[in-house]
This record gives sequence, structure tokens and C-alpha cells, in this order.
Amino acid sequence: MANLSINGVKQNTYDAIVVGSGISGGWAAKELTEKGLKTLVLERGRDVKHIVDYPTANKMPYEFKHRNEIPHEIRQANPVLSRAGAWKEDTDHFFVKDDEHPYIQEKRFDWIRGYQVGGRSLLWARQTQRWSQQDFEGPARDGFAVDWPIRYEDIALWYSHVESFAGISGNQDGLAELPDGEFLPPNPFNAVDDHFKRVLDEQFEGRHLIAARFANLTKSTPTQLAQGRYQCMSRRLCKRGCPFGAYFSSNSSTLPWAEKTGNLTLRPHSVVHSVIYDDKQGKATGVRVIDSLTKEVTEYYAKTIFVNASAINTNLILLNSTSNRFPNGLGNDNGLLGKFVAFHHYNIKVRAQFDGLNEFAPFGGRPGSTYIPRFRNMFKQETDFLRGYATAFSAGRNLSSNQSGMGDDLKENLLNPKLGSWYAGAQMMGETIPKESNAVTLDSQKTDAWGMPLLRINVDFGENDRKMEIDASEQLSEMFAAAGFSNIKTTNKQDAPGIDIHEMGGVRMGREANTSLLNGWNQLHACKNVLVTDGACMTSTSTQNPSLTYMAITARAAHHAVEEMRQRNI
Amino acid sequence: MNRRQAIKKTALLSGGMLLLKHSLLGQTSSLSIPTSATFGPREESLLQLVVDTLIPATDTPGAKELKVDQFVLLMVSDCHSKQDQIAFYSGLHSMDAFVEKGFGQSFASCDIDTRIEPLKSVNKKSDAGPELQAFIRITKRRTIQGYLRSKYVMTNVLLHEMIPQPYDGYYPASKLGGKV
Repeated sequence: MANLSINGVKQNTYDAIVVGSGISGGWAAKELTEKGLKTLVLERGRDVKHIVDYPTANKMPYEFKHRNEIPHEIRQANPVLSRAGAWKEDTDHFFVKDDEHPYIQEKRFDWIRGYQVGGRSLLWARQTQRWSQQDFEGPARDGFAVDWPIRYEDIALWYSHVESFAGISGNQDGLAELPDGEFLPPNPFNAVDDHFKRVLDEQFEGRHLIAARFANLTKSTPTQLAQGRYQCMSRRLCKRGCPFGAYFSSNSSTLPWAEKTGNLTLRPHSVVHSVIYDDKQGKATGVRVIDSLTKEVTEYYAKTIFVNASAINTNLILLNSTSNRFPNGLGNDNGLLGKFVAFHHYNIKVRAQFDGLNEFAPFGGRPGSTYIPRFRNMFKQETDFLRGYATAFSAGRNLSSNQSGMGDDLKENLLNPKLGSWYAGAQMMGETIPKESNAVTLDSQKTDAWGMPLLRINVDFGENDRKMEIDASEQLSEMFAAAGFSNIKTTNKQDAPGIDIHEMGGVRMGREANTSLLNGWNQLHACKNVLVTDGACMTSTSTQNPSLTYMAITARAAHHAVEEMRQRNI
Repeated sequence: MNRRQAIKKTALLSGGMLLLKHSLLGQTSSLSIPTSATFGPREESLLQLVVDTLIPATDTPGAKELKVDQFVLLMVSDCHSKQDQIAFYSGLHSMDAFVEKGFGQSFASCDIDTRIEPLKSVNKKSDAGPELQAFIRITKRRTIQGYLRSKYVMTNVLLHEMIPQPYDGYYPASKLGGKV
């Protein structure tokens, strides 16, 4: 334990500590600092300042040495990261290399990480659909995991709260399975989007094509202008960091906002070793931090601690936070910490061609595409598998050049690209069932460069997922055929879990202390001044991209924690 | 010791990494060349001729003037497997013998209008050998990429817009050269 004088302790004491600066940590920082709490945000990676630290944001394609390809040897050295489609020359600096943070794959698990201020909020896909009442009721209705301690009505206002601030585009679609929200104008449809929507409306009851809700500013309202964020230019280079601040990230939005309050202290290069639990006081008193550069250990103290290190690393920190009271990890009285990890199932892709509507072509750019909310087993059980899948849809026409031939012919072809026929593509986004055997544990021997135990990851698909694949493949093909699409090709990507980059669970919320780790306000049942509001808190996964729900859960928990602190309950 | 031998010797000494002064976008890079490869001025100019035959100068510059040959070398060095690299250099080296045999003269001495024939014949003739075929395949792919993704083409011919026009999902296809 670090040897600190009383002054040193005072200097290292804050009202709140937030571990992690990604999409949920950023929200915790914003809400806590706005409420007047002196807040320390710890980030294991380097600082990334909005705009200043986006070195590739304005580069033309020819300015990349390898035209955006990652060199062969580097790919070979990073088999896990190589499977992340977004890892290219222009985003390389935002991804963790395989050997920088090793982990043990008991089964193949592609763990894609971004260790820097802002975390993966710089790199996310920006789809932001709300969960519905049916999503929160899922485990109770279908008898898996445990009942969520919250329902849609508990979080609806918090969805509105984060949507208004972050800036989310979308339509008021009026669908029970996908609640509406506070939306900026939606992304426009093209001719084939409209055609496909009509076919679904006419021939497939309960299936709807809608504009996916996206965290790109289709319009900048005063709320975003106050953050220094401007309308999206549809460059579709979001993952480099946006010079207009046109998509939501911790870096462009919540962290600078928190900084403006004067209550934020941001400490990059801070690997959190563990949360400190004081047996006498019966609560957590702070965190132990290893400086990632000097490896010096420092303790920081606070009344409230938010652990938002990203789902799997939050599990790691809590498992590593042992004390007399909690020999198996903080709050882990029931032995469930690290268990019931789940993810999203994206394996089925369908692609086709459409020879109609040739008089039209899409022109220009839009930052988002379209989406079919889940239609399987939505309001009652209908199939031989549990839950269902949403579908990402896109349609377009490419201008491409014929690359056959050589010499003058080739050059002529290259310089005169031709418009191809319409293509249509769809990808399932499936819910998976959290299982006790899908777990992360600490290796008892091996440690990383900072002396932290290596994580062992044992997460796999199950029979329910395989049945869902078959159904998704059949249903998407059937809808494509009904729309008159031809040359329909279904692919099973056969990915391993992890590459969805939606890992969730391990520190699940629940009603009972003997079957869950967190209560309905994201406090550890057994240590109420420690809160977890990142992906680790998820009881089930639903089908939606999870970030919006993390944001809403975080804002809700932060407000409650502040209230509890005022009443001296924590 | 001539230059080629000297280069080859350096390559052997440095375990396969051959340092070539390589000017691309003003950067000097080191190229990884297999130790088995022969690469000297003759191969350098042969590659220039090949890329320029693939995409010749017309009223706009061809691949050679845009230094696409250097881009091809860079990509082969950095973005291809060792196996590809060996095939590429071996194919490049064997090209003259193949052309001499089939066309009775070296590639360089072929007339500018007929130089394309030996290149086209590589994929048709079995005596070209898999390495020469690999050389042509890799060179063509990287030449097209280096040409289309060159500053010249992206700023003068097929203009690249960082900020696209506002989206129109019902734009007339005829205006984009599409079939109607």
C-alpha cells in the first residue's frame, strides 16, 4: 500500500472516481461534475484531445503510405485485431495491438480494445436504438438469466436525457418494439430502401424498415452548438475522429463538457489495479492505480466509485479487488462475478442484386442506413429458439470501373467508372442468452506488464444461436426474394464471439443479492458506493447496439448516487 | 562488384531487408526484398516499363510518370507475404527470358505499340510459369491501385471529394452514366 501523509491523502481525495473514459465513463463524468462533485476520471491509455489528436482526420486517401492497408507483418503479428474491419492505416492509433495486452482464450474470443481517453467511443458504429419494454421483460418472460430490476418506464426519461445531449437522428416510427425518442431529422431513404419498406409493409406483418437511429448530427441544435459540435458532413470518416464533432464521442462531447465545470480531473496512463475496500468502514474508499508509464502505484480516494472500464476490464478490476470481506472479488458474495457474459450474434449476412428502379441512383453521402427492428418472438414465443434478431439493411449502387485488359483500354476503363445495378445487403443482429459457463476468470499465475493477472476468457455460442442463424438466413432470404431481389447469397461468417464488440455482463443487475451483483441503481448489492454502468452491468443483451442504453443507465445511476450521497446513504 | 551484386550482398548481410533509397511522397522508406531476389537497375527499369505498358501516358500521365512502379515495390515489400515477394521478384527477373523466347527480342526493345502483347500472353502461355504470372497479377493489381489512388488522378481526373453532396436517394441514374 502506498505510504501517504495526511496531506497526500487529502490531495488524492475526490468526491467521485470514474474508472474509464469511454462512452459510459464519459457520461458518469459529465453528470457527476455537473452536480458539483469533484471527479477524478482514470484512463489506462493516453490522452486524446478532441480534434487536436485526430492526426488522420483530414487526410486524403493518397496521403496514406499504404493507401489505408495495414502492412502484412503487422497483420500477422495481430491475428485478433486483424479481424476488426475498422482497423486500417487511418485508425491504427486508436486500437490496442494483440501483444500490448495479452489474455488467455480458453475458447477463441476476439477482444477488440481501444485504450485511450474516449476509449472505443471514437470508433463505435453510432447506431442508437432504444430498448423496448419487451427487451427488459425478456429474461422474466422466457426464463433465462434473472429478471431485470428495471423496466422501460424506469429509463425512458434517461434515454431522452442522453439523446437530447448527444444528438440522435431518427424518425418517430410509432413501433411498440422500438420506442421513439428525442430525434434530429432522420437519414433519408433511397429508392430501394423505399421499395423494400413497401414490400415489408404489404407482405410481412410486424416487419418494418426504418431509418436507423444514429449518433450523427443531421442538424446541429443549440444543445450541440454549445458543445462546439456541428452538423455532419457525411464524410463517413467518423472513426478517424470528427473535426466537426458531428458524431458523439466522450472526446467531442461529455469530457469537454465535464471539464468546463471545473470539477474534472482527468488522469491518463492510469491502470486501475483494484478498488480499495475498508473492512472497518464497510465500504470502498478508493482505487489503487498503476501508472502505465512509470509503474508507480498511487491510491486515490473518493466517496463514490464508478467502474466503467469496459465490460471485460470492469470484471477484471472487480475480480482483482480482494479484501478480507471479499476474498473472491468485490461484491462477489454469490460467486457470480465474471459469469453470464454475453454478446451479440452477427453471423448471418445476405447480399443480393436488384435490377429494378434503374432510373435512380443514390448520390452524395449519408452517415447512416436503415434497420429492421426485431420481429421474431417479439410479443410472444413463436419459434423453436428464444429471442430474436434485428437486421441492418443497406442498398445502393456503386460506380466502379472494369479492371480487365491492359494498356489504353484499361486506362480508358479506369477513368470511366460505370454505375452498377442496385445491391441490397442485410446482416442479423441477434440477442444471445447469457449462460453461467460463459465466464471470465483471473489466471492464478500469469500477469501482464503491469502485474495485473491475465484474464481467461471462456465464452461461446450455444444451440439457441445456431437455431437463430438458420431462421435469420431463411427469413432474410425470403424477404429479399419477395422484394424481387436476385442472386441472393447468404453467408455465415462463422465469427467467434467478441468481434461484435458488444461484450456484456459478468456484473449483472438484478433484484436479489443472491442471484445478481448490482441492484436496480447499479450499486453493488454488497458495497453500495461502488457502481458499474458499462456493458458489465447488462443482465441480458437484447438486439440493439448497446451504447445508448449504457449512456442512459449511467446518467440515471449517477443522479441516484448523487442523491444518495446528499442523504448520506453512501 | 557491380551495383546489382552490391545490392544483393547488402541484402544478404541484413537478413533480407534491403535498404533502398525510395522516394514516395517525399518519404524515404526501406524495402523488404527477399535474399533470393535479384534487383538492380535492369529490373528497376523493366518494372517501370511494365507499369507504363499497363497504364500508358495519353493526354494524361501514365503510371511511370506518376512513379507507380515505386508504389508497387513499396506495397510488395510491406503488404504482401514472403511467398508473394519471392514470386514477384523471381517473376520480374524471368520476364526478359520469357519475352526473348516468345517474341525474339527483349521487352525493352519491343515497339511501344506491341509491348502489350508479351504482357497479355503471360496468362495464356503455360511456359510463363507461376512466378511470372504472379508477378503480372500483383503488379497489375498494385498498379491500378497506385494509379487510381495517386494524388494526380484524385485531384485532376477523378476528383475525390472529402465532403460529398447532400444525399439524394432518387438521383437520375443517367447523370451518372448508368443504364436506364
